[in-house]
Amino acid sequence: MTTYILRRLAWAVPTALVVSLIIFSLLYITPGDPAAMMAGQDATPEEIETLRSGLKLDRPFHVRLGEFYWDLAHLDLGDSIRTGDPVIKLIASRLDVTLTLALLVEGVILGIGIPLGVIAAWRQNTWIDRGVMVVAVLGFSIPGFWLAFMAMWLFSLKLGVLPAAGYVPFGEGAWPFFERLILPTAVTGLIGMALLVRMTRGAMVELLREDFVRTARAKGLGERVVLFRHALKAAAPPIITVVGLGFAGLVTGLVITESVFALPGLGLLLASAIAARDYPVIQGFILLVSLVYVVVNLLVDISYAALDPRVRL
Amino acid sequence: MRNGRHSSFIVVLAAVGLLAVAASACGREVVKEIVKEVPVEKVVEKEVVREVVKEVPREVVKEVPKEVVKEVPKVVEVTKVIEKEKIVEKDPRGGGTLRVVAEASVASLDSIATTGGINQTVAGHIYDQLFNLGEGQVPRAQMVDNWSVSPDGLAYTFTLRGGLLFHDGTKVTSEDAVASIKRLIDRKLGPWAQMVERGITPQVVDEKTFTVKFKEPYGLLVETLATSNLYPPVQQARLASKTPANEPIKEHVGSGPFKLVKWNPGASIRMERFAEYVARAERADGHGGGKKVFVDVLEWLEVPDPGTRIVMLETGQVDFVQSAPQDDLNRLKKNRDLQVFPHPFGRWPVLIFNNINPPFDDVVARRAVVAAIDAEGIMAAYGPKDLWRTCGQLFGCGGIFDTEVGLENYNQRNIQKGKELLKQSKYDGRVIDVMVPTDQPLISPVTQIARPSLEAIGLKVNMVVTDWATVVQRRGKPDGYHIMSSYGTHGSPLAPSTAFATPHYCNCATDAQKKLSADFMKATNLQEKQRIATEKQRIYFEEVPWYQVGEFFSYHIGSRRLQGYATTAGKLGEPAFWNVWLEK
Repeated sequence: MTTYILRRLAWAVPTALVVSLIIFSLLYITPGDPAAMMAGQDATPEEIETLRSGLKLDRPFHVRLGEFYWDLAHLDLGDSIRTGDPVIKLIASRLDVTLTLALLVEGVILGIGIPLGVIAAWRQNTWIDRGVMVVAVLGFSIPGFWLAFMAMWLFSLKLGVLPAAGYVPFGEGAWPFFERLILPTAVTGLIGMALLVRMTRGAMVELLREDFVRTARAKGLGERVVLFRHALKAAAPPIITVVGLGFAGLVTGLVITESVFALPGLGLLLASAIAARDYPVIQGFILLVSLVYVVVNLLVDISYAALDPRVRL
Repeated sequence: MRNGRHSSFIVVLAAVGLLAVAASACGREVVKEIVKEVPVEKVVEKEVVREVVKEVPREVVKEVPKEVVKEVPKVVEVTKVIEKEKIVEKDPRGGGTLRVVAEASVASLDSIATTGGINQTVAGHIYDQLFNLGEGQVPRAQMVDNWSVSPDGLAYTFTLRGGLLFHDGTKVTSEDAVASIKRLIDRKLGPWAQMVERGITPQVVDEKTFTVKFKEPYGLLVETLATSNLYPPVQQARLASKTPANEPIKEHVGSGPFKLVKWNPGASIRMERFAEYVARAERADGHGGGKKVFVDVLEWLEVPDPGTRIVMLETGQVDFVQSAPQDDLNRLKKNRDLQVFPHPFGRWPVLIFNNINPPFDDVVARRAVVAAIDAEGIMAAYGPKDLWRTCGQLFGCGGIFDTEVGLENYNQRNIQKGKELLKQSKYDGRVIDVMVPTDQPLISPVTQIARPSLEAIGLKVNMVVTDWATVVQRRGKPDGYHIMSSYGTHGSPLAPSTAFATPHYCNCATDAQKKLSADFMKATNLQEKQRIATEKQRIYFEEVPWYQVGEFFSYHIGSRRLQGYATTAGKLGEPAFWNVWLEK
């Protein structure tokens, strides 16, 4: 297993290089001029050109790519065109919000989605099953921003029990920090669990007809043990794949949630960087995304081996 | 025998008694009482108190100091501001944390290196200015104590106020002022570029005195130093002199009424009152006058979604929202816990032609479009009628440069005329690219709503729906677009630089217009400036390098707890949080 893990981690390097090459190339040909954006409406073409030169945006593609890889080799992602801050520092400053939110949302998804899916499969074709599927369909159908504003209207404006939005650093108070994550967690979690409910139900429905499940029941095992220790364990691989990819998506793509609830996370950082054509930030972010997916995929594969003795890494 | 005698005695007594009764009955006189009321006058003295008011004239000598006013004629060019509502000031009460939501994300607190109104607005609380604007957009000295101009208009001399300190405790000197002005000159933003052409040279004289000299007269230096669009800050010389003008300063040590405490990029900026700040003695006047800080902490929050900002205000999480959504005005006005602060000065949506890209290198084609445009239809996109008006005057309606020259060409809504003009023009039927930046809600309506008019006169239109970054890139190319839109402001009415500074990307600056701009900068009296402004508008309507569609007003909104804002910064529009307080 150790060799497998090391080999997979080693593949992360060329993966990141290829991804960064693709992104660098796409950004190069994408319309938009960060120098003109920064220079402002009143700037003359000469001023814009001076600024572009100062930002090294006037260099040929291969020169800029070479500089980028050189900096990357020294673990330097460059500086933001917009603010002048190091990209690594900008990303690091947003990690606490995004990681906390992602973990909380994942907790909701797993804590509600898996039991609901199991119950729906266990009570297949009953009103319980149909009810759970209605909830799942609603989760797929309801736009996230709409649900976010409805939650804000109800819990903040009408009932006044939760703050509407905003962010307080953890260092300024644990409860104010978590209090402002309750609504975004609930909204994102409720929508995110829809897929997991359906995946879990689908996987479980097939397995509950299997001989080993019948054997387990015949041995007199309790239904909870049959469902969660035997059947769910066998259904885990596709569920873990969905959970893993979902978590990676949460870490890197909560733009709407962060925008509506004013949470300064990675999603919002990416959105503003794209609008301003802040290339170093975009490139740094994409690199981070590729590394996250590599690690998550590795963890998913390791979990397969842990859950299924037949899988050898 | 004795009993016989007693019986007889009794009989005799009884008989005597009976006889007596009979006698009395027969002989008694019967008196019949008759009651007769006989009036008897009784005099009762009743005391009646009658108050008699007697006026006794008494001479009271009251000494009233008679102020002898000595009139010294001074020409003050002001814009008349009409107050529409009575504002009742309450007693200031200090303390607390004032939370405000900025209209956009703050990229930098160095407002020399980074353009963008929000950067300047926020930075203006940390960095003080040499001048700023009072009510009516009149320049007011702030850090400057007194100043003078030489008779030939070539030399300005400024003296700083005493006691000014930076937030690190060091004194503010003329060296800092000169270094900051030099940095502005290097940046060459807007009017500073024009000043460079006139040979501007700032110089230190002593610790508090400095001069700014020109090789050619420039009559708008003070107005430019006061203009809130640019908010020229005074930065520390040690930082300003060593940091290139287009690179943001990272260490923010200002001398303003607020001191930077913490900046969470993308989230919040926290400032606290600078206790050693020396405010001017006079009363508050717009952004100027005495800048007194009544709150302990000022926190700027970045909230990307406009709907979320309003919810946070309605739930009391924040106290002020800058530039609230235009469409929400009528609903928010009904909320008694909130107060609306209309921006008194409008912004001007403009339709911009690429004057070197056919067919709009032909003035007839431009006139064809102008003839067809429905200005009122476009302006209706900016919200309720309270928030916009049609106004074609290049320098604004009702201002000191208001003129009706050429106005017959504004808001014609004449499709037939447009068709005829287009046929007369050099238009060859090519497709024209019209830019629509969907991420700019105050810019995109202009071209979107103009589209039917453009097509009605016979133009083949390609709506390029994209984001602002792409528009900025394409407008820099000679053939990057045919028509785009934007909006602008006119700055101080005394220095309407925007109206004179033609955007380079319209490729429309002619020699005649450049000469007019130069003459305006040199003009030293109002009448001459008005003459030039009138001529400018006449040429504008003849050449129509762009088309000013109308005027819209944004508004801010705050909690009822926020006091003092309406009578200070509210008079000018750009938010400023000195001279305001939170009611407890």
